[in-house]
Amino acid sequence: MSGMKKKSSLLAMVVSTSLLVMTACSGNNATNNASSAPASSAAPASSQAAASSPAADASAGTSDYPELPRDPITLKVFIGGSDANKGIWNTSIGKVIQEKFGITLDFITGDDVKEKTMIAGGDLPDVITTGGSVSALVDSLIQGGQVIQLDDLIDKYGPNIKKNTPQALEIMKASASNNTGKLYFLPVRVNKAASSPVPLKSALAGFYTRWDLYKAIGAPAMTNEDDFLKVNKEMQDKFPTTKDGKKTYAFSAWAADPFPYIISYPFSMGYNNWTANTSISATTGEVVDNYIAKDGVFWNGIKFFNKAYRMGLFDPEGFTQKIEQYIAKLNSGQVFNSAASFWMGGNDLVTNTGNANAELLQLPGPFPGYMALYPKDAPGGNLLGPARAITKANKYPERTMELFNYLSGDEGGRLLFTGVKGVDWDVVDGKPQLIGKMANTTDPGYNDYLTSVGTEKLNKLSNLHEAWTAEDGYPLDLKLVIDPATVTPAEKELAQQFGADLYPGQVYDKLVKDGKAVTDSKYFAFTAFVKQMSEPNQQIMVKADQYFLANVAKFIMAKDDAAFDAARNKAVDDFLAMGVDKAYAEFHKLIDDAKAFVKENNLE
Amino acid sequence: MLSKKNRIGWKYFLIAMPFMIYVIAFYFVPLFGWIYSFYNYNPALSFSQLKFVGFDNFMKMYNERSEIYRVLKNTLAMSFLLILVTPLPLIAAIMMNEIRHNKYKRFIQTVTTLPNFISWIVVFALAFAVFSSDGLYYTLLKNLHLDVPVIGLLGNNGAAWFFQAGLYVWKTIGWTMIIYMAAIAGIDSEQYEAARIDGAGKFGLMRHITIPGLAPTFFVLLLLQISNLLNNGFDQYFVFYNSLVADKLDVLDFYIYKVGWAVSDYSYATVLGMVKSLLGIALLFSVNYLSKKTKGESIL
Repeated sequence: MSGMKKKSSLLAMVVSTSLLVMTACSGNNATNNASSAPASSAAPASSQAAASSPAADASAGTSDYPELPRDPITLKVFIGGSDANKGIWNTSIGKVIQEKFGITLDFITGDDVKEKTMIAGGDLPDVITTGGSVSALVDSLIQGGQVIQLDDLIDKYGPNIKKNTPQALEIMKASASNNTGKLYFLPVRVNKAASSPVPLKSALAGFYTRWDLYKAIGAPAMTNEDDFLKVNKEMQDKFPTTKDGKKTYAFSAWAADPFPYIISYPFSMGYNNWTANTSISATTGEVVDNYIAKDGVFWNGIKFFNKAYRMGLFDPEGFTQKIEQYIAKLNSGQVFNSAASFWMGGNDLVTNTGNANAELLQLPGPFPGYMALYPKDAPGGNLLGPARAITKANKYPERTMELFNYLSGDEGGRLLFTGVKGVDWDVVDGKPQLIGKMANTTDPGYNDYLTSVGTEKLNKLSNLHEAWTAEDGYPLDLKLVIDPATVTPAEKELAQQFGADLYPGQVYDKLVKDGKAVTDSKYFAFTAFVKQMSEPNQQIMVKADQYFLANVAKFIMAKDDAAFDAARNKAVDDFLAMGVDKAYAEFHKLIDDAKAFVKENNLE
Repeated sequence: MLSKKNRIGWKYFLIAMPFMIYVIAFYFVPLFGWIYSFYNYNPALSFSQLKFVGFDNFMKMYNERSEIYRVLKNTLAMSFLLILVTPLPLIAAIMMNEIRHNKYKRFIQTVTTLPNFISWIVVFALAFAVFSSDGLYYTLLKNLHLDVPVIGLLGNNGAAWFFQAGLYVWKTIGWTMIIYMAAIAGIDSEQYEAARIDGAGKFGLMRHITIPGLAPTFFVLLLLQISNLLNNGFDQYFVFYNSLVADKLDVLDFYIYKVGWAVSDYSYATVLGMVKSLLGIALLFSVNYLSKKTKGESIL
């Protein structure tokens, strides 16, 4: 029972973090949503062992800095997300940080509403992280003196940050400085593409379909979305109930969140979700105004779900249930498609279905998009979704910056993403490798162990992406190195069915290289320099979200094409009456400005 | 030296002091926040940095009157439904009073009072477990070979108001019943004795003693309920709100939350909250005045 509880809280944390990364990216570079990136197991051996102290790490990187006190202090950090990380960070990683720096991290969790309340009440923690609607407050936070300027601190205590993420700092100075040109916010998940990228185990988001059921109906070839719907119909007809008699559905969703509608279909079609209710083409950089482009990828996605509903494939409870119930249905085998790679069913699905090859995987064929398939350039990281700032309430800004700097270097980054050296990983035969319990991914207590170490998804403390290639040639997160022993039966079956040998990413990689599919490895520099829309237009966009969420059932439940068109047209008219077109016009003007800025400064 | 009378007065004053401080701190001090309705509030800025916008936010209410009308319609519909069910706790209390078996009575009382302490998010989880298409209720219907709707009660637009009213009654009836039980206990037992001597049976006692004895309490609660016509609360609607019932559950409190915290238009949300409070006070005084005139009973 407690194990289940822990698993579900871990899942909730993974989901909420992923949601934050994917949907709360204000001004986010749409091309930097990769959640992970493997390195080839044949990557070069370690050139040198990681340095053993923060100062040594810094000196190995760039320069020394004055020694700071090590007396015990506690830093309150608004980390957001689920309560899984709430309170004193009493994990193996947290303890190493305590020993090295004398810093105890006390995490405050919650949503942007809680954070805004804290800001409004003057109850500032030592560090805040932007995300959701707090990203819209960056200029006001600077104007109100709530966050401190970081330029001098970076000069003194941030050699790793300066060395590894220089462009990110320039981007932040240009786009999140209240036009002062100074640095106030530090981004997270800065990454660089490898010269010869190795594909991930899977892509990031789209439609992840039950492999075992697809195989059970003969794995018919698919070339378009109608084929995909037919295959789902066939699967649902053949498996109309779960083992315990519950009705199955091919697709589902959850209430009060645009995620199900702005992710699966657009990503499958080669678009990323972007800020200001837009989607951006991964290949051309074309920006689609979701709510008012009647034939754009967003409304096409809604139409896809409408078709699914009319075929009896869409779970009507997708409009009423919460995300927890949606995930429970995926894991029990009641719903056949998930929206992203972080909902693949796992051990729960295998146990509940009794099928060893039950897993939710992206099926090759019906859709062209395999997003975030490779480690890719993200020089601005996640921009403001989220970024960190040191507040005026922080009595130890130097020590805070020293910690951020440490975690943004090879040694600290590896600690943060992989665990403790000598316990969770070590250099064996000249290569950094997982050891001990961290290496035993099939152990039933593995997830609990990850929680006790503190590695999972707490990626808001470093400037670097977990897939960042360290100087030893391996990613900071060694768990990303693909180990054949951890490839599941379903992943292997899919790979072999489609002509690869080990894992699905290899199949998608081949499709991309053959020009039959697309991914988002191209970096559009302008996306990093788009400034915030005016406050009234931001409010209009949120109202448009509210309107969409209140009416989405009407669109998807439309009884035929004509009814769908009528419902969509009325919605677009209502959006126009709200002034959404004017908000989009302002956003496109900001995009043009950003493109001009990029051109003038040779930042392409 | 204080006189005895004054000493007693001071004693009572000191006893009341913590509660007065509580009321002033949490009910009157926040009223200063109404000033933000004249500014463009931003949580990251200090008051001196805010931009004064005069009555712009009040004009917005007029400009968005169709939205306000839609939300008010839902608010009033829910409130009237809840006023209609006001007698239920009274009836339940009278029935409870007739139970002679003390253990059974306490058991019923505990079971009916318990939901009052359950948060609405837990109520949602329970409602989902019972009324979702795979829930207890529809499984029962299936087992009885009865028709099962595709969409359960949580997404039934036609039944949304009644379903929410039902949940509200389930959650609050036991708690409100306690007030009536206390009022019944306060009725002089000699009145019952006299009525019995006059030949009154069980129903006669209820009709001539218990119900008239409870009338003042009932009217006080009814007046308070009417003065709360615009206050449906927020959390119930927040958790049960979804696309299928959105046009029925968008009540004023939830709408103000969305305007304030989702849209980040704090100043306009303040205006809406202010107007709601003022209308609530006006309603309270109106019904109090009417009650005084017609029944001679009032709470103010």
